[in-house]
Amino acid sequence: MSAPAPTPGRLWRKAALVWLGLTLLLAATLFAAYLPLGQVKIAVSLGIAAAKAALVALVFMELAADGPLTRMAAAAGLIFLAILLSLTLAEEATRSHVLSLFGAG
Amino acid sequence: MAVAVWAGSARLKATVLRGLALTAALGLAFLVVKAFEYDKDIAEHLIPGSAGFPLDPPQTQIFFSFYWVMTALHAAHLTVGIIAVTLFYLWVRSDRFDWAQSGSLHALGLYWHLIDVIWIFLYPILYLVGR
Repeated sequence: MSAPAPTPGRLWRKAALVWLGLTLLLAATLFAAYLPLGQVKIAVSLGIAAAKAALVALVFMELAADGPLTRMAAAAGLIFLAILLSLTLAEEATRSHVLSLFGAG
Repeated sequence: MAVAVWAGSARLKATVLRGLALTAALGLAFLVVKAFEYDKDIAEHLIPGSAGFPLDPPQTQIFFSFYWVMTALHAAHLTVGIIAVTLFYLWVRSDRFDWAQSGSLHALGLYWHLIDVIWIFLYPILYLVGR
């Protein structure tokens, strides 16, 4: 981000532009949720979510303007979060089978 | 929040304060909406393990466990965020520390936007699946 002399108006405009982008993506994900996409739907909605997260991380969290060390630190957090979520969901994914064993299904 | 952080490094005090006030107000508005939603969920007995749970396959109870844990954890983080933003508002207003230099506004912004990113993923996972 090459920033010319920041004035309040310029800062608000920059934030409003990102907010507009996020709102458009929100509208897109809401619209896509009602399309008959089958199994692709969850990939589409998570893809849009990833685009929104990237927008927030790059502009609002200033990762785009910062050096590689900052980005590596952010990526490390992301990787550990992915490990934790995978373990949790792996457990949840096996739950349905256990339930049917107990005759609760 | 982002405007407050950017204005912080440019020493635009009025803009920092305006940004922080708006951030706290919007965060509070989110919590109010969430409280109405929880109220409705409880009225509909959407509590996993409760006798009157209205949905049929038992896996829906797992979904609602995730729903409660994830949204409540998000709301708890948001509450901490709103308190922190309010404290920063007061501290910046009274010039209690060198807010343009210290980087703490930046850290506050990172925390706030992390909660933001988490909600970006929670929304499609919890509210849009199965539509």
